[in-house]
Amino acid sequence: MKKNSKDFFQSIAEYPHNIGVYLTYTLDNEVVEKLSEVASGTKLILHDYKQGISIDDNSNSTIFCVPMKPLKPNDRNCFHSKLALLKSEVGAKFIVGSANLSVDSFATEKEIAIEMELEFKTETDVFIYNQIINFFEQLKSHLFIQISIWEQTINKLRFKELPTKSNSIHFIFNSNEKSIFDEYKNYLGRYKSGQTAKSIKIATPFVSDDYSKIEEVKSISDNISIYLRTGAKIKPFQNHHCKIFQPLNKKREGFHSKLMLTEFNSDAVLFIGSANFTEQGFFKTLNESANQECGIILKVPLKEMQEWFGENFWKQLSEIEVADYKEAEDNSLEFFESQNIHYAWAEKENTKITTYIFNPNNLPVRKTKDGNKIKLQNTDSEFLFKTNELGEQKQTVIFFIGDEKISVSVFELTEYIAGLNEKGESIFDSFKGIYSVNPTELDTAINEGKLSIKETTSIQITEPPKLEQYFYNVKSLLQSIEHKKYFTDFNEKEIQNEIYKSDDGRILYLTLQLLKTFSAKQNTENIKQECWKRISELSEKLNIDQRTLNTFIKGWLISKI
Amino acid sequence: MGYESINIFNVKPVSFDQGERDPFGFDDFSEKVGADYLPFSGSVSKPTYYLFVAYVNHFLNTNKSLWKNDKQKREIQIRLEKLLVYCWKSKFSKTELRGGLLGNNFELSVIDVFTSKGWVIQNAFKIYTDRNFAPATLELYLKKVGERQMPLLRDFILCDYKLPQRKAEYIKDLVKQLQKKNSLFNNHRLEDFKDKFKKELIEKIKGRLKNEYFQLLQPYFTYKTFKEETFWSKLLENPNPKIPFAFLNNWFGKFVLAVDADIYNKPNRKSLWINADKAFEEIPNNYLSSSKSDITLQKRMKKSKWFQFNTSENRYAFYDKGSPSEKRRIENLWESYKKRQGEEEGTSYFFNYRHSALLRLIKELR
Repeated sequence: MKKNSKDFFQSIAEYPHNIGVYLTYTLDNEVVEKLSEVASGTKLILHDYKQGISIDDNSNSTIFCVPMKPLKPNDRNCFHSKLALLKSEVGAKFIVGSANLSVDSFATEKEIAIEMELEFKTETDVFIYNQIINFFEQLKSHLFIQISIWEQTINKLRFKELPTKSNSIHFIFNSNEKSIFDEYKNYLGRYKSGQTAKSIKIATPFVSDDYSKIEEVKSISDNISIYLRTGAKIKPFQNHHCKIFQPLNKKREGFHSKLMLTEFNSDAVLFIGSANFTEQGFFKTLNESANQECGIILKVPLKEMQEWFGENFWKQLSEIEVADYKEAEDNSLEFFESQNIHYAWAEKENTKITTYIFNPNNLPVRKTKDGNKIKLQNTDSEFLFKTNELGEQKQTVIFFIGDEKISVSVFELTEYIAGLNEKGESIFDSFKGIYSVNPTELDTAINEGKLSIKETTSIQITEPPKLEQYFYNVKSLLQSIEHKKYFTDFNEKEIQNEIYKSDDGRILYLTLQLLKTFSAKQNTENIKQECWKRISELSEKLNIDQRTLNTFIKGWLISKI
Repeated sequence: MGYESINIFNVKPVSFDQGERDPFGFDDFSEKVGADYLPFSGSVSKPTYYLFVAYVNHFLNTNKSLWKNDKQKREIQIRLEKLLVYCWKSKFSKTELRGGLLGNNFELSVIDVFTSKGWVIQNAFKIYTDRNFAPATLELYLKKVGERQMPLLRDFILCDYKLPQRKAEYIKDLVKQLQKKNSLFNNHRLEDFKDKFKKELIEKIKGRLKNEYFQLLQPYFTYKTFKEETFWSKLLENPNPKIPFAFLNNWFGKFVLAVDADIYNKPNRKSLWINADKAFEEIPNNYLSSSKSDITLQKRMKKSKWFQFNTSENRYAFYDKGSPSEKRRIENLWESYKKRQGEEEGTSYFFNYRHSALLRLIKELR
């Protein structure tokens, strides 16, 4: 494991990808612009709904901001996860840590993150990737809008059929029934059962007033060191005889990293993620109105975090200092205020433009500064409204909230989806018109282009090359599939869709060829089954004797032709 | 898979080039002052891009039937830039291409030249503008190889080789045809056009009519070797009143420290303001404004996005917009802004007035 300081954006830039999914609590325009400069893929940004921004330049609709809520939103919790998942055609990379997509996160060196590239060469790679996708599935219930786009994105990310093998690096998140702490305990039970922990080190920039489960933490080890910001409330830890550390110098002043390290004789178990060591972040389940959090738990060598927690950066408060301790006015109690600033998001589907407006101060919304108030429709969230009354000018929606002119770039859903497909996520995207493997589409293209075979002999053949071109197209399609190693749920669905486009004999040919190609590929059982089913249906419709056909297929599949 | 395959890191601080990062407008002002002296981009500096951008714009102007609107024009620009990078990357290693090549992080296999998508937004055209910076170099290029390449590029833009196999065959053949002697697509350095371009660049700088400065700068284009420290000190720290950089940087630094002392109520604020005001008075009057900028420098900058100046108390304070999170955001932006003093491109200057870009150009043109 390397250890260093690294530029978050460099980490994204050095991994060319098709799809990027970013989770953050807060969001700033400057960071989104920087992402646009460095990230090659689409940028789907999920942020807490009280912390959004109005985007005034959304080139090619590659940035898609989605407001998120915790499962049971109230004024004390939020969508707090921080994650970047980048998917390329050959693998994926993720970065998990404490950094939000806000200027604040990158102002000083105060955040920590963990990055990992997954090439899916091992089953353990798939295990951790699937844990992230399972988390994404759970997030469906946290969306206000665009559930279908989120589902489509998950379909493009998920490899359902790849085999998985448990691995000691776990991506974790809190769920309806389980807290981050529950996941941490499970991990210890699974990988450290029977071993005695020597100590626990916890770094948390924010704290709670009280901890209902601190005794459970102490049952892992009662030698607990807690690393807090200067002036933070220490009483909850003082009561439980924890050692208290505070920054020695600027390097850790204002730190935002969230860490929990349990040390054993030979190694340690580390949590890095978004969750502060607080009731809302670490100990509650979603059903108990927790924040939505995520992180990574893994075993690390003892020396791995020694420097981070080292005496160069921290000083332990002596008994006298603890006794005389004075909390600062900002005592680091975790508190999630709603931003007081309105923002808007405009999206276009076909010709309909829907503008979502976060309007915390309930200011009047008008098309022009002195115009009539627009009636806004409620969403299921307080302060978040929508309207279809605003039109676009040069792909921008312009209106007024109070006296302020708002200018928002219109996000085009179809362009976003087309962008995803063009970037190699669709098997069939390159095969359109004259190159289509859909007989109807190909015939139309041939007829429109008035294509015919021109013979050089004295006999003029005027037959359109429908079969020849079709065979050529299927051959090219199969060649492109041969190079592809992994198939997502989306690919499964598009194959299914393609082989049901008509009952033409050419579709039978296509399906047979697909079956043969996928027979040589592992982890594609669903696709093969779907092909078999379709072949059986088509043989019936085309009056082909099924027994003869099956005998042929069985022999053909094992032949090299 | 073990922990060896992962990397735990502290997240490095980052400067943000855009947006509200400029509380008093100094970034914009210094950029305009730099532009007064050095007529080229202050961002990425690769001499080849000047020729490439001029060449592509010439291509677009002579092939107007290929595009109907700005969007299509832009798509062609990006596809040609991708093609350029594709050609370079098929010939040179990532290390050889280091130093200002846009898109160097993309592996060759993922650069799809048949679409404008999947490319970083910051591209050569955004940085270099669409003006023809080096007409004589372009003319020479067109004569030597450029004109002959135009039909190939036209075919490339029009082609619809979407099938993966045909794409691969086509691009292989195209790269072969483009990578001829003297071709831009064959070398990421200007080489054969270096002298012509250098001459044009020197003429352009001379054309700014900043003679005192030009006399200092010109020898650097002919030096075979020189110490970078002297390059910086001679040009940016020069106390000659005909060169503004040292005066402005001196004041910017001291002014920022004094504002910081105001907003955090530091005990030494008075002495810091004395220093700042002294530095301000040393700036020759004609440098307090730039013909290209709306801003005029004043001892107390009145317009600020983050701070208000209280005239009766003679001090700065954060704007109170009633939102603690917004205040925190501005405080963090300010921290980041302050840090820039002494951290600009590894030099000890508040702003470098495009001199980092100048140095890169000089080095590559040597």
